[in-house]
Amino acid sequence: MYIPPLEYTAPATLAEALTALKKTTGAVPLAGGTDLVVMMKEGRAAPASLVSLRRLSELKQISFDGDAVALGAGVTVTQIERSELSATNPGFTDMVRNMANQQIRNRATVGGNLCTAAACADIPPILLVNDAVAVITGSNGERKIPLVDFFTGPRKTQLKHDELLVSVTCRAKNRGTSYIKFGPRKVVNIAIVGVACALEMDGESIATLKIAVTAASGTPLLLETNDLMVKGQKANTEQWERVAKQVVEHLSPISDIRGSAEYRLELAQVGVIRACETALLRLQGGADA
Amino acid sequence: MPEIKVIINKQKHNLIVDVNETVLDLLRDRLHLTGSKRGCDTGDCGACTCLLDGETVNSCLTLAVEVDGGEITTVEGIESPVIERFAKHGAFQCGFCASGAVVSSAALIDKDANPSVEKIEETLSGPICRCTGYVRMIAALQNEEHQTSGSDRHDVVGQPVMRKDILDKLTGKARFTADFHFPNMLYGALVKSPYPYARIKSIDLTEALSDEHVLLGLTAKDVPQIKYGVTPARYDETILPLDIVRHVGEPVAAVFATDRRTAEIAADNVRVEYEPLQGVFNAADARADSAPELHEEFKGNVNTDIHQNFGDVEAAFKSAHYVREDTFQGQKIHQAFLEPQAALAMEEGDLINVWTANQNPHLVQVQLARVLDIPQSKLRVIRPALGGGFGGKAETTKLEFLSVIASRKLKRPVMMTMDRKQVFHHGRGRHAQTVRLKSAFNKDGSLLATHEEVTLEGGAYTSYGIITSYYSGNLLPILYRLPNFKFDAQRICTNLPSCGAMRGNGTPQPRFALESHLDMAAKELDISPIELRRRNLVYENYKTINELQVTSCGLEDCLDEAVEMSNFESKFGKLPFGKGIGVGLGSFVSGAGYPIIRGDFPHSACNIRVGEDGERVFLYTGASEIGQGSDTVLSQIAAEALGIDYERVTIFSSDSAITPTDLGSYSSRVTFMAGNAVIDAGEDIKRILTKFWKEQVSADATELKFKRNIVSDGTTEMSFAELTLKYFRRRGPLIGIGTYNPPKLGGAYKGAAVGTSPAYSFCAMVAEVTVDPKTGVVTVDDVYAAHDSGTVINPITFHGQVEGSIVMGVGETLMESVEQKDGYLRNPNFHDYILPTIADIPRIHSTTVDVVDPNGPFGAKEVGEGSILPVMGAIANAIDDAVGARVMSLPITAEKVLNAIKANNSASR
Repeated sequence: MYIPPLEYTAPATLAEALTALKKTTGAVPLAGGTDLVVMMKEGRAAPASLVSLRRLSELKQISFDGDAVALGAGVTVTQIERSELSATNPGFTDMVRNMANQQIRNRATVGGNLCTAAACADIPPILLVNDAVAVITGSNGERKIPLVDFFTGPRKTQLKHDELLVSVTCRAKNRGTSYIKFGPRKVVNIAIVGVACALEMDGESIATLKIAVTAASGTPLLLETNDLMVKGQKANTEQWERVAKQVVEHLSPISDIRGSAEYRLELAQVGVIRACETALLRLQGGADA
Repeated sequence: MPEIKVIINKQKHNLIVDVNETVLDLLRDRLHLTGSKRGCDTGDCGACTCLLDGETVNSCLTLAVEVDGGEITTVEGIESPVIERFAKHGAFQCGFCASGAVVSSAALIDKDANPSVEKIEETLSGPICRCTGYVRMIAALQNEEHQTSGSDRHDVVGQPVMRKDILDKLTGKARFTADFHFPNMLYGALVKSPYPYARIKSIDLTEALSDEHVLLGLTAKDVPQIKYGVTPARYDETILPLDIVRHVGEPVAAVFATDRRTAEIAADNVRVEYEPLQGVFNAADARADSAPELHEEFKGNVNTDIHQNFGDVEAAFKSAHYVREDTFQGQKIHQAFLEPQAALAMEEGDLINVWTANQNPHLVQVQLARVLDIPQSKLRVIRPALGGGFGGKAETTKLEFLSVIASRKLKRPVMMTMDRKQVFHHGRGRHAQTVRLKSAFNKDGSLLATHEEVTLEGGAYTSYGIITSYYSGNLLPILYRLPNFKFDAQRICTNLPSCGAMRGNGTPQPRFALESHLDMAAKELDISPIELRRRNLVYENYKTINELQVTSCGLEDCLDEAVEMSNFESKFGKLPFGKGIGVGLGSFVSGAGYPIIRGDFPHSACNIRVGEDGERVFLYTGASEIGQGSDTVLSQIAAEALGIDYERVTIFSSDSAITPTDLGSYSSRVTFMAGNAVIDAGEDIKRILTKFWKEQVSADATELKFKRNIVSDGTTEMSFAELTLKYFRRRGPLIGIGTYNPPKLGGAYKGAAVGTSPAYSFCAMVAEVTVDPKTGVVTVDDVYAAHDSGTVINPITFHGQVEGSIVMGVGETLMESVEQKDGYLRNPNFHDYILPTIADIPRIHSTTVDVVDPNGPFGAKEVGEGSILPVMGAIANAIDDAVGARVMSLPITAEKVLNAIKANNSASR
C-alpha cells in the first residue's frame, strides 16, 4: 500500500493556489488529507499533483457576524467543537461527537468533507438545516451558491477544476438543532443514515422545520418547512411520524455492506422522529447536547 | 524533492522528503522511531498516533511534507503518568496498540487529570485494542485503585505482579518484527493474484527489474515446489504456485528492493498473464456436480469428511419426550490482530536468523527446514514482541519462506511485511459454519441425544481446517452430558482466502448454536434456561461419550456464581420490553493432547540457569509470548517453584538457538504445558542443590525448603543467592532442565485425538442487553463471567484475557464479518471490517471459582480461548429475552434484529 509518486506545491496565497490548480492538469487540492490520502493509498485517487492549502490561514478561520458564522474551508472538525457554535447550535456538537475519532477530527476539514462529497458525509446535514451557503472562488471571481445545490452526485460537486471552496456560511445561533446518526457500532462510524433537524417554534406551533438526510441518497437531501407542510402545525409525535413518512419518499438509498436500502429507509424514519424530538426538547430547555 | 524543518521529540531535523512519504514512513523507515506502529495504514486503527503541534493525528494519513515547521511527539517522546498507570493496571497485552493509546491518553491526561468515562470514550475511540477490551485502560485513566487482588495461597503465583514486557511496550521500546532494521536491509513485496481462480500463463519481471533499486524477482520456478501446510495429511500450499491461483490476493511472485515503496511499486510492475477460471464462492456451489475441483486430492471439493457416532441417537429421538431441530449460520471473522504479519531473514555466522511475527515459531522452523532443505538447527527462528495472534499467526507464511530464500541469494537482510489488505487476503480467520442441531430431551430437560451436522466453508487451502472441523463436534460433549452423540462434518474448499484456527478453534459457532438451541428447548419445555443447563452439566472426573476425560470441574459453581452475580432469576422474562438477560456456558482444552506434527518428544521443554552471582535466574523457554502474558506467568511459576522473588526471574522466550523447544501458542496450552515444564526445571535445580547441600552444608539434611529467597533444612538456612554462588564456585553453572508431556489420552477411533486435553476450563456468562425496538440496535450493558480456570497465576493477565475475550465476542456477535462477492473481499480493511471500540464495551464483572486442577501447574488451567465461547449464545439469548426475537445467524446485526422483531409483530397480528 503506497501513494504513487506525485508533485506537490504549498502556495502562500489563495491567488497562487488558484493559479496552481489552473495550470496543472490533474492537480487536486489537499486539505486534512484524511480521505484523500486513504484514497491515494488504495488506488481510488491518483492525482498528478497536490496543491496544499495548509499555508492559507484565511481558510482556517471561524468568523461570527451577528447571527451568522463563516466556517473557512480549512477549519477542522475539532475547531468547530471548540468554537462557540457548540453552545449556540447544539446540532454541531452532535455532528462532532458522531464523526470519526479524535485523530481524524483534528485533521479533517469542513472543505475536505464537503468537496469529497461522499454520499455518507457527516458535515453536510447540519449545515444544510442551518441555511448554509457555499462561497467559491475561482479565477473569474467569487460565487455563492446554496450548499444544497453544491452537491451534484456521489463524490461530485459544482466545483470546477480551477475553483476552491473558501468557506461556508450558515446560521450561528439555532437552539433547536440536532443530528442523529446510525452506524454499525457506537462511534467511529460511516453513517448507515444520518438525519439533521432545525426546528423553530412559534408558541405551540411549528414556525420552521428543516430536515437533512445523509447516506440515503446520492447527495444529501434537504427538505424545508414548505416541502414538509408543517407551518403552524402542532409539534407532537404524530406530526413527526407524518414528517418522517414524507421525508423517506424523497430518499433513494442503496444497499451496501452497512445496511440494505430497506433498513436505511426504516432508520431514516426513526432518525427524523428522534431528531425532531431532540430539537423540540432543546427548544424547551432540555436535552443538552 | 521538498525539504522540511521539523522538531521530533524535541530534536530538530532538516529533512529532504518525498511527496508521497507519510509521517509514519518518515518516523519508522528513515528515523527508526518504530514506536509508532503501522497497523492499518488507513487511519482506522490508531496505532500510529502521534502529536502534531500538541494534537493527536494519524501519522499514516499525514504527509511528511505537510508538517514542515511543525513539532511532532511520538510515543518515544511521551513523559506522562499514564505510562505507570497503564503498567500497573495491565491495560495492554500484546502492546501493539499501546503506543497510539499512550499518546492519545497522555494528551488527554495533560488537560484533564481525572477524565470522565464519556471524555475517555471520546478521546480514545481512535486506538483499536484487540487484546484487553479497554476495561483496564479506562480504570487506569480514571486512576482507580488497583482492584485486582491476589491470592495468598502461594507467594508469587496468584499475585497481581506487573507484566514483564509492559513498560517496554508502553514506551515504544519493545521491538516487533517490522521494527528491526539492519544496515543494507532489503524489502520484499508480493505480487498478488487479482482473480479468485485462474491459470497463470506467464510472468514477466523485466519492467520490475529495470529499476536499479530492485535486486531480485522470484517466481515459482525459483523456489522449491514442495508442498507445506499445517497437518502432514493435508500439505496443499506451495511457496509460489506454478500454474493455478485459488483466491484473490494469492501471491504469485515476489520482488526485492532497497526500500519498501520501491519494492511495492516494482511488484505492481510485474506483468502476469492469467487465464481466469470460473470459481466457487460458497459451500453449496462448490459441492455442485458442475463445480470445478480446486484440488485434485479433494474430490468434490470435500477437504475433510467426518462421521462420528456414539451411542444411538435415532433410538433416543424416537422415544424422547421432546425433540427439536434448529439450524444456525455462523460467519467468517478475522482475528484482526493489530500487528500485520512480518518476517525478517539474515544470514549471520553459522546460522540463518529468522525473526517472525508468528505464534508457533517451532512450526516455522520445521517447515522452513523441510521445504527449503536446510538443517533445522541452522535456522534460528526468533519471535520478537508479537502484536496479537488469536490463531491467525499460527502457521508458516510466504513471508518466512521468501525472506529466507532472498536473503540467502542476495546475502543481505531481507524484511517482508503484509499490509492490512494482504492480512485479510492471507486469511486464516474463523470458518463460516452452518450448524444443524437435533436434540432429544426428557420432560425434565435432561439431554438424551444430540446429532450435530456442520458444514465448514474453508476457502482455498486446508490450513488448520481438519482440526477446526473435528473441534467443531468433538468438543460439543465436554460441557453437557450427552449419552448419545452423532457428529457429521464436511469442510468444503472454495475460491476464497483460507480459513484457519481462531480463538476457540471450531467451537464458538457450535457453542452459539447449542446455547441458543437449549434456550429454545427450555422455552418449549417451560423450564428455566438455568435449570435446564443445571440438569445436564458435566462434573469432576466425568468421561464423555466420545472418551474425553474431565478432571477438575467447577462448572456448576461457575453457573451458580454467574446467576447470583447477575441476579438472573429475578430478571429473566421479567425485564421491561427492550431489556433482556441471557446465559451461555463454555469449556475448552488446556492444551491439545497430541502435537500437530506427531512425534515422540516433549510438548514443552525449558531450562533455568542460575546467574553466577546467585541474584537472578534466567528462564529459557520456547513458549511464545504473543501478548497473552506467558512470559509473565511462566516467570511467576519459575519464581514460585524456586522460592524466590518474581523480580529475580528474567525470561528469554522463543529463540530457537537459545531456548529449548516448545510447540507454540495454540490450543491454550502454554500456561498448563510450559508451566509444568518450568516447574520440572525448578525441581531439577532444587534436586541438584539438595545433593550439593548434603555434600557441602549438612550431610544430615533430608529435605530442603525453598521459600522467599531462603533455603533451609530446618536447622541451617542460607539465602538462595549465597547457596547458588557457592555452587557456582565449587561446581560451575547451575542449570535445571524441565519437560512436559501429557499422558496418553482419548479413544481409539479416527479423530479421537482432537479434543483430548490434560484439563478443561469451564465458564458461565450472563449478558444483559438493551435492544432499541425501533432500530434493532443492541447495546450489551453488562457481562457477568465466572471462570473455572483452576488456580489463577496472575489476576491481572487473567482478567485481561477474560475482558479481551468478551469484547472480541461482542464484536463477533454483533458486528464483525468478512464479506465477499464473487470471490472478492468487500471489506479487507478496518473502515469496513469494523471492530469494537472503547465505546462498544459492556461493563464486565469477572470472577473465578475456587478450583485447583490436580495436574495443572500449581493447579492452573486455560483461560485464553474458553472465555470467548459463551459470549455469542449469552447475547443471543438476552436479545430474545429483550424483544422476543431469535436471530439464528451471525453477526446479529441491528438490521437482523429489527427484521426479527417485525416478523414477530406480523405473526402476532
